[in-house]
Amino acid sequence: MGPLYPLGIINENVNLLIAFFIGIVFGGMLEAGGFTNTRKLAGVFYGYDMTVLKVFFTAALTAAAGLFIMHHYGLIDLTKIFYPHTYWLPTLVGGLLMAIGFLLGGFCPGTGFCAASTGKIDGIVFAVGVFLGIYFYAFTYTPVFEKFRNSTFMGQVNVADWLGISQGLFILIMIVIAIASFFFADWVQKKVNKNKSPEDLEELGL
Amino acid sequence: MKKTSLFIFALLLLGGLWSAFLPNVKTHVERVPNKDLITLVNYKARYVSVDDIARALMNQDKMLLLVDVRMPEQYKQFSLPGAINMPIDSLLNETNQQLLSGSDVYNIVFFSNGTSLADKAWLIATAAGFKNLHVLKGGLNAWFNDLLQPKRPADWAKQAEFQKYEFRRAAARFFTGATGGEESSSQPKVKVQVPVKKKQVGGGCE
Amino acid sequence: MKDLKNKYLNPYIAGFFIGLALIAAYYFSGEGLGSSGAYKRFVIASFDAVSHTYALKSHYSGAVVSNGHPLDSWLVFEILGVMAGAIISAAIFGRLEWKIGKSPKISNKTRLIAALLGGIFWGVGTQLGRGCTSGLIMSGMAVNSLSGYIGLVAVFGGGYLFAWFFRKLWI
Repeated sequence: MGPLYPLGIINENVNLLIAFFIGIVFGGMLEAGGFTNTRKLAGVFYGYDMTVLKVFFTAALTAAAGLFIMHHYGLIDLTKIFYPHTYWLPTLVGGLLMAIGFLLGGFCPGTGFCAASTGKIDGIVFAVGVFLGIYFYAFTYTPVFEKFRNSTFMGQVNVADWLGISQGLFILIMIVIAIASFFFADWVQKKVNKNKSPEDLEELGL
Repeated sequence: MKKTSLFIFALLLLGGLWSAFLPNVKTHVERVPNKDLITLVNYKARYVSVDDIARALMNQDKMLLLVDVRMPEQYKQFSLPGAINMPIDSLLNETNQQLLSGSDVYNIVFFSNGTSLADKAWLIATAAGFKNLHVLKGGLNAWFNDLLQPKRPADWAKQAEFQKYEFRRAAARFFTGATGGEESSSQPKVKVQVPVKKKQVGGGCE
Repeated sequence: MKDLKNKYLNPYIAGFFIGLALIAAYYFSGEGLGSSGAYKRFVIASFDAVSHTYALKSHYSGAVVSNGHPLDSWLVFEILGVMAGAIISAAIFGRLEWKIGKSPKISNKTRLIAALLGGIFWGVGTQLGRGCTSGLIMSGMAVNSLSGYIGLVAVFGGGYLFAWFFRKLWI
C-alpha cells in the first residue's frame, strides 16, 4: 500500500497538505514535551533533566518497530522510501559540530524553530544563527566543504546488516537498551537534583 | 514511575519482540559487496572503443552521455563533444548521482586521458549501485592517436582493417573539420539532454 | 483555570506521538521528519530570488534549483506545520510569551550570543552531516540506517564529551 505519494496513490497537493498536518503533530508534541524550553534541552548533557533522551528514543524506536512490522504485513514498502546514504566521516565531523552547537545554543534546528515561533527570543536568535551558518557553508561550499562532504561514501547502509544481525533483533536490542537507559536517566536526574530547591526545578516541570 | 510511562514501555517492548520474531528482510538498496570487486574488475564488457563513440557522435546519438572524469581544468581545455564533467573526487555528489541514475535510459560512458582513471570511476559508481556504465578504452589518447591520426594498415592486412582505417579517416575529417580542430573546441558542441528522475523521494535534511 | 505554564506532557507520550507522526510521514510521503532541510530550502530560495543563474551554478544549490522551486518541498510544508503545532500547544499551556530561556546564572546578553554561535555551528554541522537531530538521527534510526546511528553517537557522544567546557552556560 504505502508509501502513498511515491507510488502515485495521492497527488502532490495532498502530499504537501499532509506534510503540514504531520508537522502540526510533530511541533505540538515537541512543545508539549517541553522542547521550547532551552534548559530542558541542555539538561540532558548535565543530568538535571533527561527529557530529551526519553522523547527522542521513544519516538525513533516507536517508528522503527512500527515501520518494520508494517513492512512485514505489506502496509508499506520500505524499499520505496527515503533512505539516507552513509558518508561516515563528514557525518561524524558534522555531528561533533552539532554537539558543540547544542551545548552553546541549547536547541537543535527543529526545537529552535518551535521556540522561535512561540516567542522565545533565544530561539529566534538561534534560528538566525542557523541561517548564518548555512549561508557561510553555502558560500564556502566548493572550496572548503564539497570534497570532504562527499568523501567516505558507503552507500545506503543498514546498521543491522552492517552488524550482521536481523533488523527485528536489532530493533528489540535497541528498545531494551532504551528502556534501561530511561530508568538509568531517572536515577541520574534524582541524584543530580537532590540538593536543589523546588524553585530551581519549577521551570523544568519536574 | 508513572503508569502511563510503564504502558508506553510495554508497548515498545511488545513492538520490539514482535519485530524480532518476524523474518529478516532487506529494506535498503542492495550494494555490490566487496568480494565481487575482483569479478567486476575483470568484467571486460564495460569497454567501448573510440570507433563506437565516434560513430555515435557522428550519428548524433541522443542516448549517449559522455562523462569526463578528469579535473575541471583539463575538461575546460579540451573534452569530447557534448561531454559533461564529473571530476572523480566528486563523482558521487548529489547532482551527479541524479545524472548517473539515468543510466537505464542513457548509455553513460566514462573517459579520461588513458583508461585507468575512467576505470576507477566506473568501479566506484558501479560499486555504489549504478548500472549500465561504460568506459572508453584508451581514452582521449586513443581518440587522438588512433582515431584522428589513423595509420594506414600494411598492404597484407585484412579487409576489415582497411574498412576501419577508412572510417577513422572520415571520422577525423568530421571531428577536426566540423568542430574546428581540437584547439578551439573548448565548448562542447552537442547538447546532451540531461535526464532528471521524476518524483524523487527527497527526505531527511539532505 | 490551573496554571499549566510549567507543566509538560509525559515525555514517553510525546515521544510515542512523534514516532506515530514519523510513521505517517513515511507512510504517506516516503519522507522522514526533518528541519535543517527546510532551513536549507529557505536559504536556497533566497539565492534563487537574488540570482537564478548563481543558484543554478552553485554546487551547493544547483541540484535543488534545477528541480523546481526550492520552497515547493515537503519539508517546507512540514516545518510550517511544526510552527503552527508549537503555537497551538504553547497557547494551550499558556506559554505563548516573549521570553529568553536561560540559566538564571548568566546574563541575557551571554545567552543570546551563545544562542547565535550555537546556531552557526548547527548550520554548518547539519549541512556537512546531512541533517539534524530529526532528519539525520531520528528519521535515520527509524529505518535502521547506519548514518542515523553515526549521527546519534556524534551528536550525543560529542555533547557529553564537550559538556564540561560549556557548563557555565547551564549549571
